[in-house]
Parts: sequence; C-alpha cells; structure tokens
Amino acid sequence: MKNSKVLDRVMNVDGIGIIFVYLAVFISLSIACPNFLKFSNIMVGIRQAVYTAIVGFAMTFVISLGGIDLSVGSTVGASGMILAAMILGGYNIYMAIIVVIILGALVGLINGILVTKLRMAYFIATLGTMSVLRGLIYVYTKGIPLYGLKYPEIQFFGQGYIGPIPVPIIITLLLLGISCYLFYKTKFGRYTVSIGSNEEAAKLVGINVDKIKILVFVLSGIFCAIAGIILASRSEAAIPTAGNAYEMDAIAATVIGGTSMSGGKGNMLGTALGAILMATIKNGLSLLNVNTFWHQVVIGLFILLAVALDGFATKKAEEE
Amino acid sequence: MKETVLEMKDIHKSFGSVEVLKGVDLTLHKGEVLGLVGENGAGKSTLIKILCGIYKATSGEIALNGKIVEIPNAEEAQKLGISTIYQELSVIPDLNAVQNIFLNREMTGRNSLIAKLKYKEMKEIADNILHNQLDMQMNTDALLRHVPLAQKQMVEIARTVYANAQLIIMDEPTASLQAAERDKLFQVIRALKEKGHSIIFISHHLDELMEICDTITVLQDGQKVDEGPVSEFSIERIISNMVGKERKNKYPKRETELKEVLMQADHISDGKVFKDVSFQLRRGEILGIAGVEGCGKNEVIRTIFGERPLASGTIKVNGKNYYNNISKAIGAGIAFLPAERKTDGLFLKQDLAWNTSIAALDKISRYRTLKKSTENKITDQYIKQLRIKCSGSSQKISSLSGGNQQKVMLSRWLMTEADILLLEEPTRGIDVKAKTEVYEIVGQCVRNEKAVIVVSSEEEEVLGICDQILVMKNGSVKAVLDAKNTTTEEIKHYSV
Repeated sequence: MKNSKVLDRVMNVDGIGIIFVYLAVFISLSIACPNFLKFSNIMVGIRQAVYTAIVGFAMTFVISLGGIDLSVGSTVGASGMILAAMILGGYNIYMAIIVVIILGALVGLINGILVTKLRMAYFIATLGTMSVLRGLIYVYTKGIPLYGLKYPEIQFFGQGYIGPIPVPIIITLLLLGISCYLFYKTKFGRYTVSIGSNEEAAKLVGINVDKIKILVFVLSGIFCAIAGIILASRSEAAIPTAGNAYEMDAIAATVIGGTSMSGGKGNMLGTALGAILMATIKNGLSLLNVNTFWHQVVIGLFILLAVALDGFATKKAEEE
Repeated sequence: MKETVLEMKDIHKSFGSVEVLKGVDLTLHKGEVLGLVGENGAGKSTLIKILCGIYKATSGEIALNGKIVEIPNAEEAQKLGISTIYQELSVIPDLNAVQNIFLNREMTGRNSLIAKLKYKEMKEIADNILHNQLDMQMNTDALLRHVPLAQKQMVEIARTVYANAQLIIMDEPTASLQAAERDKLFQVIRALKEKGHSIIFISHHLDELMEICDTITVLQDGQKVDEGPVSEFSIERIISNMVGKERKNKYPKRETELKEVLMQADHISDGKVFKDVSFQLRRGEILGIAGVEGCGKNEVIRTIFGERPLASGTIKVNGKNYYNNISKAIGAGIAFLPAERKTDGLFLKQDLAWNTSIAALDKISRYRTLKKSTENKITDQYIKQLRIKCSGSSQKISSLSGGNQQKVMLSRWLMTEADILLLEEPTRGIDVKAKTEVYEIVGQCVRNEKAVIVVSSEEEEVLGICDQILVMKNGSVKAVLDAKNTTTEEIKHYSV
C-alpha cells in the first residue's frame, strides 16, 4: 500500500513523463553506441541544445501567454548579422553587443504593439516580422556570409570557457535561472500565465494585459538576440540562414517539456529538458550514422509522442 | 397509471475513492415533468451525465420503457431518445436556426457527406416546429449569434422536438430568462408534455419547480431523500430536505449602522444602455439594484468598476473625484464579482491559491518575489473563514462546486481589502445552503464597515439582504425603495 502511494506522488509530478523518456533515450543510446558516454560527446550534445534552450525559454513565456512567436529564428539571424556588421565595421565589441540586444528588444516591442494596439493575431503578426527580418538579412548580406569574427572578446561568448564549462552553457544556465525566477516567482510570470488561462478574467482583476503582452515579446526579442550573439561567435561569422527554423525547435522543446499550446500552463524546466532531449537524440542519431534528414523525422515523432502522452494524461485526469 | 418511461435503479457512481451517487432511484412517467432538486454537489449533474452517456454508472441499472439499456456514450443516448439542454446552451452561433435544428441530421438526396443539402425542405420543417408547434416567431435564416438567448434556447428545444426525443433533460433552463420568456418556456413545456415527451427539469428556483413540475425528487449528498407529487410539496419542505434542517429565514437578520458616504454617483450615464443614475452608498450599507435582464443594472456597476466607459456624470469615492478605469478602481478599494464565473472570473487551469491571490499579489510578495508559503497561509485562512469545501489550497478550482467557487471569488476580493464590493448576481447557479453562506459573508463585510452594491434579478434576494433598492427599467431608475417598507410585488411592479 505504501509503495503505491509513493509511486502515485512521483507519477504526478509535472513533467515526470519527459524525464523517463529522456532516461530511456539516454540508456538506449549508451548501449547502442560506445562513443556516446564520452564527456566530449556529451558536451557536443549539450552545446547544440543551447540555442533551442534559450529561444525555448522565451517561447515558453509566449506560449503560456496564449500566443506564439514565429519571428524568433529571424531575430536570432538578424542579431548575428548586426553584430558582425558593427564589429567588422570597427565599432567597439561590447557596444555592438548592447546595441544588438536593444534591437532584439525593439523587434519584440514591434511584435507586442502589433498584437496589442493593432489587435493582430499572434500568428499573423510574428509571421510578418519573421518574413520582414529574414528578407532584410538577405538584402543587407546579398546572401553572402559575413566572415571574420575572430576577435577573442567576441569568440569568448561562443567558444570560451569559465573553468571547465563552456560559456554558452553558463549563459544558458543563467538565462534558465532568470526565466524560472520570472516565470514562477514574480507578478510578471503570474500575470503572463493568468492571461493565457483567462484573458477576460485577467482584465477584471486589474492586470494590464497589453503591457504584459508587450513585455513578453520584448523578453523574447532579448533572448533571441543573446542566442544570435552566441551563434555568431561560435561560427565566427554571420550566416544569412542563421536561426532558420529555430521557432520549430523552440516550440518542440516547449511542447515536449509540458507547456500547454493553448496557454495558461507552462513548464520552464520542462522546456530545458525538452531542448536537451532533442539535442541528445540528434547527437545519438549522428553517432549511429543515421542520415541527417532522418533527424527531423525522429524529432517530429517525439513531438507527436509527447503531445499524445500529454493528451492521454489530461483525458485520464478529466475522467476522474 | 401512466406508463413508465425511465427507471433508474440503485445507481452508484464513484470517482476514484469518492462516492458521489450512493444508490439513487428515479422513476419518470410518460408526459411527466420531474423536478430534480439538490444542492451543488448533491449529485444531480452526475446523475444526468450518466443518463446522457457522459459517465458510466459504477453499478445499478437503467431501464427505458421497461427494457434495460446500456448508455456507453452520448451518441447512444441520442439514439435512445435522450436529449439534454444545458444551461450554457450548445447551439452553434455561426449557423442559423435551420442548420442548428438539423445538425447531424441534415436532409440530403443520398446518404453521403458530400450530397447536396435540401435547405428548402429543412427550413420548412424548422419553421413549422418553431412557428406553429412552439409558437416562437423568429427569423430562421438569421445566424444565432445575433439572436437573443431565449430564442437560442427555443432553437435547442426545436432540435430535440425534431429528434423526437422521448426524454428531454433541461438543466437550469430559466437561469437567464426574463419573466415573459420563462412563461413562454413553460407554455412550450406543457405542449411537449401533451405530445408525450417526458421531461426532467433541474432548477434552483424552487417556486418555478412548484409551478411547472408534476413530481419532485430531492437529492442530498448522493442520495434521494424525498420525492412525491408536487401537490404534496412546499418550498419549505424542499429546502428542509436539501439542507437537512428547518430554516425559518433564508436571509440572515442584520442591523447595521450606516456611516459616512463612501461612494456618490451623480447622474451617471454610459451613453448606451443606462442614463441619469444617481445614488449614495454609505459604509455598512447594502444597496441593491433590481430589474429585469437588459434594464441596465449590470452595466451600471461594470461602468463604475471601469470595465466600460462613462459618458457623463460624476462619481466620487471617499469625497474625491474618481475616474473609472479598472486599475484605478482596484486602487480606490473597489471590487467586482462578475456573474459569469467561468468565463469572466475563474482561472480554470489553476488551483485555489492562485485564484485567491491573483488580485492582491503584493500581499504575498517580499522584495518583488512571490512567496508560496505566504500564499498558502492566506488561502488556508480564507478556506477556514468562508467554510470553503475543498481538499486544500492546491486543489484545482475547476473541481469545486459553483458555491465554493463563488466563495473563492469572494476571498479574492476580500484579500484586496476592498471597501466597496460590486456583486453581479452573486448567488446565480449556486445551491440554497451556499447562498445562505454567501449572504452571511456579505453581512459580515458590512459589519466590518464595507459597503456593497448587489445587482440581482431575484427580487426576493434583493429584498432579503439590501437596505436600499434601486429599481431600473429600460436604462433608468424608476424607483428608490426602502427594503424595510417594500415588497417583491412592488419591486416587480417598477421593473416591468
């Protein structure tokens, strides 16, 4: 009797499903592939997860709000491009970083205004900004990458280490901490989730809905700018296709992590785990010499599995 | 002896370890209207959902016309001739009356998803049912989105008539109806009876049950505690069975001293629905605004709260000029409880604690960080103070009964320490016992020197708890009555 009670409580922890899935994947890959458990390989996996994770944290806010941000990938790419353009143009590196982050916030502000003051649907508004930004990237670069980001100050962000830990991972962990704090422990996080849960009720308890929506998109823009800086630093260049399809991975990580697509219920830690899971799968498939095109297929199957399990669990809970 | 249409024998239903129905029997005869009464949580909805195929009984049997049946899902229930009209209607607003009546029963040339719809024939039948059989004149080509609620309800009834449902379940059908519309509904119900349909009528309005039902069945705590022909019943008997003890007064007696004027409204108008409304609200006072649906009473308090703009007139709070927007309202100590809890008030995906603290997060913040321990402590205090029946502050709000949900809404606003409470239909859709508890809470508020405005369509309620009553009709105040010296008849007189 006692055993089943403990089991019940464990099974009810939010997002427990994904931890089991992760362990299952991890164990199978360890068995299937001798190189998997090497530290250097684990590092590769986690490094790849960084971009999905950072953008994913922002996406978790936006989806919990009841919205969606399709422009994240373009913002990542545009950030890298502006960074490279400024640095190669001779501007101070740290000033370039600050400008890029401010511009990321500005993109978010524009998304926020479209969605609040102009009452546009989230999907349409961010689809628009996504296309405009990507287009501007191509206009400026004419399709050719901006090479030459070889300065140590900028290389630090994508390739540096603090002790044994790569800087991108430290940044990701910092952003995870900030995101969790904002999401779970502040009025901002509460109001965000409340709006996603019942926007009308949120209005009637005095929440400034428009303001929160704009702030969420600004946060998204800032996080994307940071991801863009890390990406450009790692590549030592700004590539026009940088950030392409990042919104898909971010949404996948968010959904696999347990956040509800309809808003009003979010799981920030789940998103982090989702990002790691996806990167681990891709990494493992590479080691097993699986054609890269199949990675997309496998990720897609995992998304379907995650949402199906979540739907099944919800249905079961409703029946009780 | 009329033939038996439905017999439910010894129905048990448990959800996990909680037994909600503990052996209920129900018998319905052909052409009969059975009134099903009980507090929220007594098991009425569960029993009905078993009949509709939404739940499966844990044990017991159901017999239709003498034959034992299984009702595994809603479709099977429909096939057996069981039809339900819910309080929150389920018509499709973007379709018109004809399309709604024939939904899933469309007339087509051949039986195929892509066969042509025989709209003309369907419209003829729809018009016949609505205009002739139900005596409801309406444009059947108009989208239901643009049609008043009472007409939407008629379309739902027409749908069950077309489906030739032998058993029609009506769940709180009069909740949002005006007096004339309700009389119309009762006419229709009598017509349905004569045609051999049998009806289960669920309502908290005991006077209506006495008017329209042939038999009454009372559920309490998952068991049937009383039943019989309506002629042997009285409202007192029903109430005493529902709550288990004799009640002399439904409304707690109170004598409060009225102090200084907290809010003063002078000739306020929203330019759309109401005009020239003036009143003074004192500390310790409960002001009621009565009137039929559409008279503008709801809009008055919503405008005061800032949910709608003020076109002209002034409002003073504590002697100072007050500008009506929601955040200023809350800052000035005004609270608003909307009538539609589910759509306007509750965060259904969240738990009790979240729903309680959401308007006063500053009270659980320390250095801008929310403290869960403080939140739980405060929520537990309200659970105890308002006697909220629940398993704790982390219970999902969606699993609480209507009455307890309303108490959570009240604790939300009590937590903001608001001085002025604007209550919109505060006891709609909650059972008698919870109603009394809500009145007691409101009474306690005014004893604590708060002031309350209650907007209600129930004259008796307004009379029972208010000091002063404004009666509105068509957007203006027709009378200002002193509760001690007036009657429900007089209130009704000014409302119509």
